[in-house]
Amino acid sequence: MEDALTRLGFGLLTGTAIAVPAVAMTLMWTSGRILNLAIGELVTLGAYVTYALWGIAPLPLVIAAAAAVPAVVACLMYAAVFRFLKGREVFVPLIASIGMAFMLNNLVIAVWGTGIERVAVPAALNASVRFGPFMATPLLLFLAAGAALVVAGVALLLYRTDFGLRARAASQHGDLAEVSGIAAFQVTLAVWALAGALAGLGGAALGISASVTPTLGATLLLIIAAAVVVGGLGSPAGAVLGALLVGVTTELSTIWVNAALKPAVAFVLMAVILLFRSGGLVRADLEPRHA
Amino acid sequence: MLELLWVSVALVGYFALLAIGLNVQQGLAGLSNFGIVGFFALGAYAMAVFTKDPAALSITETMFAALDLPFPLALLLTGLVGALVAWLLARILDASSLDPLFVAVLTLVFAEVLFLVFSTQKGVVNGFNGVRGIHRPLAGQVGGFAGYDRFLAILLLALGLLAAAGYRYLAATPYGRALRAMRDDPDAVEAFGYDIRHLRTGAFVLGSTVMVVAGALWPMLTTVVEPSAFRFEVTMLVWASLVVGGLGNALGPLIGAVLLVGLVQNGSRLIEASELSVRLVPLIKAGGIGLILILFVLLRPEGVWRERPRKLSNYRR
Repeated sequence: MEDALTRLGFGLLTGTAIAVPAVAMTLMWTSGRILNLAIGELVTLGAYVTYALWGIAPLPLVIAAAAAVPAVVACLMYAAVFRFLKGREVFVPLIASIGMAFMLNNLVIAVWGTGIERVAVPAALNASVRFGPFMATPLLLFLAAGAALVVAGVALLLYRTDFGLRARAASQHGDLAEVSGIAAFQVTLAVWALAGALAGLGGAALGISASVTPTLGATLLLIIAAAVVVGGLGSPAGAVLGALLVGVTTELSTIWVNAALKPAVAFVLMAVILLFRSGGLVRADLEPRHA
Repeated sequence: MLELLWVSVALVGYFALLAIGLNVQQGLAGLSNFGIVGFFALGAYAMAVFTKDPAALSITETMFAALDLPFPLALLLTGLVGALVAWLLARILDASSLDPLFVAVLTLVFAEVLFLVFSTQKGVVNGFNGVRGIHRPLAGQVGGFAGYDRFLAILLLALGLLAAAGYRYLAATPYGRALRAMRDDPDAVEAFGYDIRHLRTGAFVLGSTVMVVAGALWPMLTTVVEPSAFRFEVTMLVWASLVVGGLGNALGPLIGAVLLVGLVQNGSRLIEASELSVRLVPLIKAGGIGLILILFVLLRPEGVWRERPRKLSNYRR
């Protein structure tokens, strides 16, 4: 039982690491039913920017850069490509996002090579800490708290500010929003910048706590997608819930299943949700489906 | 250098077959299969299991079965297994109301799960190291390594052309026309009394079986079946070949495979062989495949070779 609780704890921590990029993916989805598979590379970019500036610049600047660079790239993605693909068949934005992911991944490799890099963190932060059955390190707890803060900040932004109101209006019904005087394109661009920044911050956290390698984004991408789908496409709250659920489920599954198959567990969970509760757990995105 | 040419042609052949399979699914039936590499891997590993001689397994190799069957029988069984798996997957997809996005995501999940199981679980198909020493059919008759590469290249090319002709034929049959109609307007087709689920399942199974057969021929290239050959990049390249070459027609996948796989992959290999910086290679790939794909999606989504608009006069006798 204690073993299960330990894994549960790990699962929650993993979930918080996934939560921030999951919210980012949801934001991109709500802006136009765009499943942006390049978000994994935005995460990777955040991790590499963190690695590149670590120790060279003061910490706040490193974090800001890790958020800013992917934000700019995300804006470019939307303005140059995705904006023109609305209303096309489903596979078109998917293919475009795959193409962009491929481009970004190779650009990262061209700049930084294919090796595994690590960010040097003071050893004290990596010391194991116990709370009863739960095990963690100060670093992981700090990052989890940071993730919670970021998510809370985004929630405040979306639901308590004027900008958030306009963003939600633009995503739910762009034409109506335009007619009401909301500049849908600019607002959506801002949302994409936010999503890119969130992905970058997620990447920074992962880069600090794990290692920095070009495959970081690809491996994470489907886990993020699983979290978003499980929680419910279109709901940031759902994304967080989904992330926590995916984290907990995959960690608990290691009781029965080889650890290497953890991602498979997440995928199976995603498939089950898609088949039996296709709106996800928090149904915010119900549209009539083609039979 | 010339031997590499035959291997390149063979690679183009594999991708052409995969792209034609996808063309049946997406071009004819509108099904977005993102698990292409899963079927490809299934075919390759099934052949490994069916044809591997258990006596030839080294101590470190562990497979769940090695049946040492003759090639033609193994090929047939692989095709059947592939069709069965495709059918099962199609039934599962049916249950999700076949929203194209879900089809894409679920097929992707299928490929990833399969890849994880094959590449990490030791007792299934030897995990990370893969299966080696798979028997090549007709190896005795076709002298030497270089000779076999040429044989394989010609075989795949012939199969590719055959598949393209098959596609052309299928598209012209009433079944093919029903599929295309369903792709463009499912409600109308249903109103006419067609069973959409039947149509979709058939197209999905057919396309996937082509992919499985392509995979069954994969061990012939290097006698080795390794998980590293079955990454998502393969699925991406097939989609790119189809989108660039042209959806919904017989020639498009071939053109796409030649353009993307042939030119770009070999271009990067040429650069590797030359003195230019190693960092340039990923840039070429980024530009060559990624950028081209994006440009085509934006500016010429029909691909290089357009689907011919169907005129009623074509069908009058």
